[in-house]
Amino acid sequence: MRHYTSQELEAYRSGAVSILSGYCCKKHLEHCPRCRKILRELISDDQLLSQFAAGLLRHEKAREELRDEG
Amino acid sequence: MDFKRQSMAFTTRISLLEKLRIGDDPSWEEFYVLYRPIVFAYGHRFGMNSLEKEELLQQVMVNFFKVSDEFHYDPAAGKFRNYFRQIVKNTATAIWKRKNRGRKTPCLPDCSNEFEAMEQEAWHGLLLHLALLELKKRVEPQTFEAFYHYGLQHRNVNEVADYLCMTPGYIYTAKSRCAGILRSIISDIRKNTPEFRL
Repeated sequence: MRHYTSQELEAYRSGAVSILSGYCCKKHLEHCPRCRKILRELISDDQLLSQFAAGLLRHEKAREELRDEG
Repeated sequence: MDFKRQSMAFTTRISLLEKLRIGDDPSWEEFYVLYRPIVFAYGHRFGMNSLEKEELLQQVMVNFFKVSDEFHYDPAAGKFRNYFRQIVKNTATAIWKRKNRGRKTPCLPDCSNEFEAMEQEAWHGLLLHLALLELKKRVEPQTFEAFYHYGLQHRNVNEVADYLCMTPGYIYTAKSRCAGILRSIISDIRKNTPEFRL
């Protein structure tokens, strides 16, 4: 069984693959714990980055408001 | 066009932070904005009016750069926080004494919830920016750019690849690598500042 690379799984996760490729990847994941683990890590990275980006944005806004008030 | 403009805006912000580190003039604006709420909260506790608070802010900045001409990332941010607090407190006391000769320095009440929340928020913002700056230092510039646009700004991978003249594969790898390093930087920060949350 050929496993998916981290890059291929990232493309799948972000929806940057064709319908057929996406279907094949989905089927593979149903039976492959190794690739599911990598996918989980990628999702975990996304969660971290989303929170980080949201925090930065919140602080940027707060600082801009302060600047405007000043 | 919009994409390029946003990219440039980010670069400007980062370079301001770098200038902050080396003590260049433009960094003062950033420093002012970042620490203004903390310093003003102290001024408020000393019963200062807005003019006095502005004076306090300027004096704190002068005092800070007198004793520290460098501003490096330090996971032990809690220590820096206490150090900065002390500078603000001493400066506020000096200003109060100068304006109230012969009178006893007021006994400060315990920190109010409002003050704590304000200070916490300002420190949190600082830590996020320092974490990003630290990440930037640890990876190649093109890796950071790819990570920033794809991983943080959630732009389309093909759009980023075209813009940065990279392959989507490189961008995926950059994101994964930077996310791992960022996780480690955040973990370092949390060791010394357990209350730090994203």
